[in-house]
Amino acid sequence: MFKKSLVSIILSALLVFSLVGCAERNTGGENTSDPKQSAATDTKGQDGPVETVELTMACWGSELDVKAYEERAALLNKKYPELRLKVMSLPNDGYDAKIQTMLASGDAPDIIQVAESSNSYASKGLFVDVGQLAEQAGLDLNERFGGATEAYRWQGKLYAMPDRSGAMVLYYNRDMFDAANVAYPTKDWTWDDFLDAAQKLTLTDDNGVVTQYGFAAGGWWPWWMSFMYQNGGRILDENMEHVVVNSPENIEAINFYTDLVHKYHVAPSADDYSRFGLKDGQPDPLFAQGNCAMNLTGYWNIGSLNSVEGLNWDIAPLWKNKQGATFSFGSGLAIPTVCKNVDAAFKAIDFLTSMEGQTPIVTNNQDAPADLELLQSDLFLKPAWAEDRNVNLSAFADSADILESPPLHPKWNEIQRVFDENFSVLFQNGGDSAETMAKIEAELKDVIGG
Amino acid sequence: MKKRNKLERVETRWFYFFIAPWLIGFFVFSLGPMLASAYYSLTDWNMFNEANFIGFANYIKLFTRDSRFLKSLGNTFFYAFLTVPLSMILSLFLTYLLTRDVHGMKFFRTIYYLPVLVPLTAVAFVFFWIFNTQIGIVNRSLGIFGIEPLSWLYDEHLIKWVIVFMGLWQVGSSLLLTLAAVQGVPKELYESASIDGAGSVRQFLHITIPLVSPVLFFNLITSIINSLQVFTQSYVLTDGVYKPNNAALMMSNYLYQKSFQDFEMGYACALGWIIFIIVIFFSLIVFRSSSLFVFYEGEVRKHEKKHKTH
Amino acid sequence: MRKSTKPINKIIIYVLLVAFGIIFITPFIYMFSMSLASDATNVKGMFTIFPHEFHWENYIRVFTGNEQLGRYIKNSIILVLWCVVGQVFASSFVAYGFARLKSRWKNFWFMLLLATMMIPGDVYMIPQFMLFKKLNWLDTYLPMIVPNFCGGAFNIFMMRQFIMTIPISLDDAAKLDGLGYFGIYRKIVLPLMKPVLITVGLFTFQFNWGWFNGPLVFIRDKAKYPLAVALKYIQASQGNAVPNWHLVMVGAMFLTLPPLIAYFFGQKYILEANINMGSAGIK
Repeated sequence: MFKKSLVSIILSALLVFSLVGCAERNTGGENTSDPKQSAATDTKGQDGPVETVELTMACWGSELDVKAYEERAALLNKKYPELRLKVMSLPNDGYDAKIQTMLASGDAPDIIQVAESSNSYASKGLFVDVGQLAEQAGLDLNERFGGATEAYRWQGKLYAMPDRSGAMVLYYNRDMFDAANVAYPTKDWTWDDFLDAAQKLTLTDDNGVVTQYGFAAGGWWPWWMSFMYQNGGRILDENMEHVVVNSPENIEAINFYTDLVHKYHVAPSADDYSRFGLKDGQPDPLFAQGNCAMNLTGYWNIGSLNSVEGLNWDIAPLWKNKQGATFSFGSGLAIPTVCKNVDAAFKAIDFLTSMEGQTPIVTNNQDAPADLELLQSDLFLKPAWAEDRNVNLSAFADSADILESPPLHPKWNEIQRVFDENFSVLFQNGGDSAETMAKIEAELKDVIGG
Repeated sequence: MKKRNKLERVETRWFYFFIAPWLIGFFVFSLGPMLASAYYSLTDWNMFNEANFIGFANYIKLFTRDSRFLKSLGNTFFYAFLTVPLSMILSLFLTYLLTRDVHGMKFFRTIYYLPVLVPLTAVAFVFFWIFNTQIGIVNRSLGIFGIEPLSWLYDEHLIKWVIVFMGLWQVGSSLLLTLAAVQGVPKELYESASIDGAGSVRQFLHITIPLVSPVLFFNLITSIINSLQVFTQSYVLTDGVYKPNNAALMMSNYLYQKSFQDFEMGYACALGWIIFIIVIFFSLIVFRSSSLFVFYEGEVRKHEKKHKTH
Repeated sequence: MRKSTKPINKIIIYVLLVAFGIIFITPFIYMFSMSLASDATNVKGMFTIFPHEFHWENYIRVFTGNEQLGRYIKNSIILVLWCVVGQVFASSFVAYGFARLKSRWKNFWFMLLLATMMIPGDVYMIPQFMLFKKLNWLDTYLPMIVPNFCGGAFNIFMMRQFIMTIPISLDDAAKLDGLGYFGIYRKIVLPLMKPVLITVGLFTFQFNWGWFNGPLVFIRDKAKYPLAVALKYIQASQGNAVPNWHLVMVGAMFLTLPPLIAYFFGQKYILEANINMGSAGIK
């Protein structure tokens, strides 16, 4: 028996070495096509179009998201009977870790839902240039998506097709506006209009404690970055090669943003949030509680607010300063280079991002679709839930011309971390942002080497 | 002599027979991945591109040009140096309480174990509630003594203490082991001690603690290992952003950032090995000194004389 | 029983027990309270420590609605049972070898065993994934189950510590009766290890019941996910949207209650069993 175990020790030692070897080989990023492994995605002969092609699509989200994706997969199969799309849904937590592990092992899904980390993959040559495929297919990307494609461009090439794309819009409490006798917000509002309204909408009790805030935000990037962009500032230059964060425009914008909390007291600080039982930077629940009048957030908040009775709210496109600017919050669909059947995968994402293929996004009340035509259709603008009320859903389509894409540098995560580190201190203490911005600029240069 | 050698050989074979499952597991599931990670720690591997050998550049960068790592090192030491001794003391104190002769002990023991079982997502909510600046129970209690509300979760010095508190609060698993050991202490020892007039606290200090020392030693080691690899407390309390100013960033958090968020696998592997070496270093110190305070029954023959004189 | 426990001392002990008890039970109560909240309360984030509303239908919703907790709970049970069986037997087996048998390289192997406990898990993940892929184990429970049959360093160490407190004289006596090493393990040591076997079983049960990372990485088919991973689906949200925390907490209740009940009944075996730590030496 002792001998047997010795044999197994040797065997496993061999296994170990083969493992190290295999790991090394895979670092080449090439497609180690093990015939057994690829059976699931094998096309079994491309010349016969009637042959079924099995595709897998990785996506994240809740059960509702899964439902919408599966309905779309069924629609795809109805339109192209030879394409069968299997939805592989993963929870948000650990999504990137799992996608990376699969890509690194060369055994990845054929279609991958991506968001901010898209360019991080693209810059490593892991995604197929879908812009080129679209061109070959004669697809007019601009007509279909407008500016939403910008987020997924890296060095001039497009690596994902926009799929869901809701702009950040202004949610406001109508009753509070009426009570304070302030006109409802419009796209033409400037910062001055916004501040003026916020001050009128902020109420304090006899002890000087704020009971209702005019506005609420926090440390999440779409909030403060939209103020930078509205003031003409940027984080990185056009080609994402140089850091341009330490500019007068940005300093002014961030000063205005922190002053909302520390000077004008129209927005809550981290500690102020806690008075309402909330964590730092949670304007959505604060708005739902009826404790703040204006809130900057995405399509997802509609579903949440619908479950709150007695809250009279509406949405509007975001204000401007030197220019209008808001960010879109969405996701795209990408094809990894290890995909065995790129043509079939593209055919699938072409359909999935078309008006027909995106309909379940709307009917399930899941998100704002990236397809402009659908975004402007009655299906989206006059949903069943809004029948007895007047919600300005065209705010999303009206945001199209001020929609900005964040600079999704491959090192986006690290860039965000630098901002988080520095802004968490600044936003807590208030004051002039010039020093902080200089520090951020220096640290960002270190990150992207520009 | 020869017979003895043969007996030893037989015993050696049986030794390997018994540890074979672990050996196999070790070679297949641990050593392989470890070697791979040691190799990658010397490269610039990012999971996808060719791994270039760069020598000790990752290690050098970690200690010379990476302020975030040094910060996480400091944060982790702060956490470990407080949590390890405090959790030992707390678990002994709670063991004392839970071994008293009063009713409802089974119920209390279950409650004391609860923090280990409740998912951390739920735990985080409670901590936000407890340490809430304006309406939290901690600040309200302090307010009775006229102390102004403290910003526990958003102040870079205070958040460290909240994380320590959260670590201490999960004392349940080491407590469970100590309790199990204490139950094994023969009752007659206490009886003779109480005839001698020793109070329950003295009995606990002079009889119980020495006799459960192997378990305490085990708790000490695992506590060192776990606290140096602390991850979840800081992760859930800050929603994974470790603010303000990275005050909550621990070494394992940073490793996770580097590996699965930034793709810098080579760098992350080097970081992993540094954590590993630090843990080994402290564990070895404790192991070296273990003979000073740990008593194994198995060694009884060696110590027999000594104990008879007591 | 002990004469030294005076009534006044008893009162002090009760006060302390209750004080600490409150600290330790708070999260559970809060979780329970949250699980009974309405959708609107969730969106407003206005949860209370004690339930102020009782939406028991939440507990039905997670089974009948999109969440489908039923099948995930079933998956968890299957997975965890295998893990417990493997871990308990393999670890005790290996621990016996380390505690009782002599060999020249024993200390070396033992230090290695301890060293494996200290390696940060993240470093393992990628190479392990590749290994399991090579073995064709992905999308099965094997990557989670099989390592348990090799024993866990933590558990082996713990069991070894316990075996070392069992008097060697028992082994010697059994040897004289003609038992071999395996016989001693099975007939003498294993029965005496019952408390620590149950402890390890509980730990294994508890760990795997709540384990998230492993199943997430090694399993692709959502229908095969255990409960801990499925909870993250309920928690999933877009942007900074508020997840359905109340439904997450219903799932968290299901994640907490089985190990809690197991512990409640298991502690009898753990604590009432006489782990004989001193009798042989001190007489």
